[in-house]
Amino acid sequence: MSGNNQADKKLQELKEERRIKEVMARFAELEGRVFLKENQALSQIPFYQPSETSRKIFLQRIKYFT
Amino acid sequence: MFLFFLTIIEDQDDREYIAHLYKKYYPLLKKQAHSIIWDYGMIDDLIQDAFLKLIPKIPLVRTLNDYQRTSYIVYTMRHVCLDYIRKKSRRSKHTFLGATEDIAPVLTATGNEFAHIEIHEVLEQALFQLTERDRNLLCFKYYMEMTDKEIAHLSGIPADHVRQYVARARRRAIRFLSKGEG
Repeated sequence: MSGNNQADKKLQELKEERRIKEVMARFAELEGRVFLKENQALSQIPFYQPSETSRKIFLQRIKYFT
Repeated sequence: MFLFFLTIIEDQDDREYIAHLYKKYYPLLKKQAHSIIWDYGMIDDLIQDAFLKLIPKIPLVRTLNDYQRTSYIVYTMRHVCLDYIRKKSRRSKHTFLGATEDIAPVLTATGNEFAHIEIHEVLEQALFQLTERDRNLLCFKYYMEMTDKEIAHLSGIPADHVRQYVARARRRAIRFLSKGEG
């Protein structure tokens, strides 16, 4: 009996986890729509672009990233 | 030898992918980071750190759609900023006693930002009823797929207790979701 209860509890937990994963993914998608729109607008403004030096440093950092 | 060759190609591909994401999302991340750090002098380094953190997560990031990927990158940026603030406060010997929610929420969208989106109303309402910390914990665990240790580091919750905190947050979220659907 106790074994069944444990199994039920575990199953319930797995169901909840799957549901929350879906919910978080959907929520992130909604936020992403807003972010993406904002990014498109900011991309038109030179101030929000990386400098050439920053870009070069970053490329060096990922080149040697392990 | 062949396998080794494939690994190198994959790494090059990953580097190009990260470089592409850096270029594409730099504007948004600059703004996001500044809203937390308020110091343009530090922002370049933090943006680069965020993208380096993304490298091990590339397989996951590649599976996300464009909108989800954007959120994932923004959340990573916020984590890096959060971590920076924590380290800075430690260095200046000020003990930070609050929870993650006190410094920088990871999920910050407000109802107004989504006013034009009519879908998923129940979902939004349920998540907005949660505390900022609960939302962050659920995001760390179920969206960012962080380990308990990583969550502990970011949230200030002892690693042994993370599982418990996440379970409570999950139950609260399920309760709000069920209420909204009922």
